[in-house]
Amino acid sequence: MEINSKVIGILGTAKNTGKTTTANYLLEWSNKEGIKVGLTSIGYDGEDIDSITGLPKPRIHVKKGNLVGTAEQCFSVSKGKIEIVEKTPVTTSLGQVLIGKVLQEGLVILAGPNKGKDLFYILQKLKKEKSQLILVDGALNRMIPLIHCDALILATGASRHTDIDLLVDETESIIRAFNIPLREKQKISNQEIMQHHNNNIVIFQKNGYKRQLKSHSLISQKILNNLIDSIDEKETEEIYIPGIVQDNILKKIAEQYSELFKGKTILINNPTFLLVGTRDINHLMDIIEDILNKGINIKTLYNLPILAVTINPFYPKYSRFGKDSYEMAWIDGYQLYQKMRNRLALPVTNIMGEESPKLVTVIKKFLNINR
Amino acid sequence: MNNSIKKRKILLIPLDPVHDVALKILNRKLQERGHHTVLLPPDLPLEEIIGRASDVDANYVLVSRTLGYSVAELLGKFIDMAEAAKIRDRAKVVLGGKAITPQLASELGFDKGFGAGTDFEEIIAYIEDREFQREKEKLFRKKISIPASHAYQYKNNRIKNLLNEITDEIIQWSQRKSSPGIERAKLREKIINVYKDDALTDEDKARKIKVLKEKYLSYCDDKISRFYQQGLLPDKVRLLSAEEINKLDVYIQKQKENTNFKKMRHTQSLPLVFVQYGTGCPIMDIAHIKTSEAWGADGVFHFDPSWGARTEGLLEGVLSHEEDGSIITWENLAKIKSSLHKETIWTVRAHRGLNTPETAVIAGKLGADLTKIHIVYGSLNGGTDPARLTIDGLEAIKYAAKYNMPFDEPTNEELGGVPAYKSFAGLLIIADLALKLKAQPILKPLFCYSPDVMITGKMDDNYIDYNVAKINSLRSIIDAPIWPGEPIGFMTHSEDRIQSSLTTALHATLAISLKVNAITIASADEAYSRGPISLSSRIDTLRAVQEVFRFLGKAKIKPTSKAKEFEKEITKGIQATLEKVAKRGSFINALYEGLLGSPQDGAYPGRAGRNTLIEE
Amino acid sequence: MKKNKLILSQIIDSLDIETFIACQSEEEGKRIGLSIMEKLGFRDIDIVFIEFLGSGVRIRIRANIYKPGDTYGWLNLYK
Repeated sequence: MEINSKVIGILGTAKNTGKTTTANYLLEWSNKEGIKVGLTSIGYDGEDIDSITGLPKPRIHVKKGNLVGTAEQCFSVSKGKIEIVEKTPVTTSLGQVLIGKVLQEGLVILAGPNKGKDLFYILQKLKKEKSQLILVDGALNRMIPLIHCDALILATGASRHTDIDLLVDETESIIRAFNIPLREKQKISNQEIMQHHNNNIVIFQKNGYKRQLKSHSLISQKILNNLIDSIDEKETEEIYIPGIVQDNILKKIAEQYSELFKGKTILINNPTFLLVGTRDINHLMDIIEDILNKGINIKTLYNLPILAVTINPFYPKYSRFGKDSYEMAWIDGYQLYQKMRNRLALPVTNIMGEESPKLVTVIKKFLNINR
Repeated sequence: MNNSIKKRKILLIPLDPVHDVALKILNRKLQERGHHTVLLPPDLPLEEIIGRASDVDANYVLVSRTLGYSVAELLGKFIDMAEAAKIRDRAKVVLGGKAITPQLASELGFDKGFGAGTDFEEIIAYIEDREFQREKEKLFRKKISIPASHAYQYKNNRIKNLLNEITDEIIQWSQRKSSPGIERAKLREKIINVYKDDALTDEDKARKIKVLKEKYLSYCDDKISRFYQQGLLPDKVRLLSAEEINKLDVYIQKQKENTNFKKMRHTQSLPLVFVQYGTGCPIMDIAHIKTSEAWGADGVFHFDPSWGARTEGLLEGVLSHEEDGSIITWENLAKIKSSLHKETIWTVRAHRGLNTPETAVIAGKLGADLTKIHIVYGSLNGGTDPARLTIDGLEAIKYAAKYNMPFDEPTNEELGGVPAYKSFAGLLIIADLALKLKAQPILKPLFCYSPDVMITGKMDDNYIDYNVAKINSLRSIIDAPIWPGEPIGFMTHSEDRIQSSLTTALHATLAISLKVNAITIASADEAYSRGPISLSSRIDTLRAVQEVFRFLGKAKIKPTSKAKEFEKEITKGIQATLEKVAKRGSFINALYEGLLGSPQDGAYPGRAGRNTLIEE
Repeated sequence: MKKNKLILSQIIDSLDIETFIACQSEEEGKRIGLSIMEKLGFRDIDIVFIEFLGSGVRIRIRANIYKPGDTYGWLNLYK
């Protein structure tokens, strides 16, 4: 059995989409299989009551031998003995992140690094401690730091949208964004772009010249105008946007400037930078298709696969009785599952249902386990 | 000071469409510290905010947002965009808002979160990368000596001379006289000294104390000796069990861990705010005391049962009493003392009965900060024989001086009907006596709606003029500390919670305006006589008074011209009374004959302890 | 519940409980406060004021007996 240290991130589209439940499920499975697991989070998990809705939340149950990366202030609260292996310089609002080894099973609170750079650092530490599989629990709808993982599981559900069709459209769009192809090797390597051109929007010309804009993100008409002024219809090959790419700007490019951009490549850093700049994710797919149909290429410097989608029909319903009060509610789980399954090319599991073994199959494949 | 701060560049983003006031205040404060700030307008779309943020090369990005439905996702998106736009490469992104906690900040991905009750100073300290001494952990008050800033200089020579004459006579008269109360005080002091003597063995201690106690009992009433000899407790009194005391000790431990205290005063340094305790049970008292401390009280004082004043001798043990007033025993007081915060001022009143000097001894030995002694009031309205209380009171004053406890003198005779000028004459006599005995007296006039005032109509228009007159009259005579009580607004309270809290607060306003040294405030249950004072009613008035400090600041209340008129009247009256007393040539006879308060005034010489003097 | 309603029918609108509850956090105080009202049989309840400091919470808990638009029992007072 050959498993190199692999990192799986659980990306959620909202609160209560089943991220922690998925993480727990994988944790339990890994422990049963005897896989050495490392665990961290980019948010705050393990509390028993949701601090916003007041509804119960899943706890994280670790076993002996598990590794965790969590903040100082969570150590005393986490029941179950944890031996501190290292105190890292990564800071969070709950103190510095410590790497710990679980000596006695119990419940823990995970509050890990909250930005990408820090997550990368913590992952290195967990890998150093010989974790074979590292699970990174997401938080809310946050995604940026998770690009440092090797693969993702997308968790979504009724707390994102209670409208099933809308939810399915959106999920498909997200997957479409993550299917944007990687930039292939060229004269200027991906490495070089990362090292030397990652601060501003750069226009790469055929003749080897480059033009730099002041901004790094494509998020306003003004910047788009700048870009258009700087593009040479004949010479420009690639346009690299290191920062956020806004969907409506892409839409404008497709609708108003397709002639100018035709044959050229819009290069994004990674799919999350596009998703984070998108207002209506469910329409993103159409925008991407439109761009491609107009003969404009879209590539990405980085990418990572989405292994599976987990769905959660539960959502906290905002109740009218009493202020700030939420009650538990569910949409039609079966319908949600069927529609997702029919539309998506990826395995879909209802995290609360019996479909979970499918998830395991996918993970096994990813980890190269042959059993 | 400003040169040592590293100047930072701060971007302030109000994500709240309405509530950006806090951010604006923070903006001002940061600018005052020399930092460079950029405050965005509210209600900008996220993309524009990110765009603007990218342009400002900030070290810190401060976002303010109250939490609500779907706000969490908005903030999650924001933090992601900030990272994608490389803002997080250079800046720390901080979230502030009413419901924000460190856990929430962690969930939302911010570097730091500041929630409700955060001091602006804490945020500024974070930005300047220095330790913040949480104001909450720093108690706002330090124990101060009330008389320290007063020289006790007389400003009215005629009155000074009259007082001198009167008090010389008192001291003369008291020579070679003692009482059972004084003998008990001496024995009590010896008993405590033996108890604290580490050089003695337990057996030696027990032996010596036994001998001393036997002598002690010979000076006690039956009610008390019965307890020592047969273990019989008076009606409605019980000993707390060992289990109760253990639980109490744990409770005290836990309460002492509290580091959160309300700041009572605003921009003022005076007056100190005192509350009385005396529910009858030391456990309940301690619960009330600890909560009052947390809600801003500077000091507390012990209120004992009325029968304590009429009974020769004190009991022992941690005793609970079913009615008003907590029994004075060494153990009760020691327990209560152990629960106090080290900066809380503690008064134990000795003032008006047959146990005056002994109470002063116990208070002194336990380290009480203050006590209360008033011979005139105790003799005329407190039910104690004037001759007895004069002797005992003198001794108590000497103990107060010995144990470094300033003491206050309450002019409660006014409540019986004695006019203020007469009660002030008595007040000043005892004060002068105290000064001669090297003690530190604190004058306690009442802010009250007294019978005399009702009859003479002095408060028909307002409660301000006459109270102002009282203070000013006293201040024109001597530079001494003044502490209106107990409580302020006496006789103006009703059982109505709001009215009661309000009249307390309004009288506090006057006290603040007059810059008196301290005040004692009532609870909102002040007028309720069918049961003990509740904790919530205590908090109500503490809260009301705190609000008044905020309201008034350094502003003042302006009395009408009547105040000056009343002041002259009072001063004239004081002098006239003192002339009469001096002329009589005998303080004791002056008391008996009503010169300092007559039966017409509602004052009657007390009977408790009559004919108990011991001539040497 | 109906029986209670009859007894309370002469309250114009609300029944407030002002008290001090010993507890270790504001959340605990809130929980206890609400369950006190529930135990008393009230459903439409709210915490009007709560402040935790030191030994517990100072709290005002409100039970709404009649809200605007309801059929008021006290309207029958002068029948």
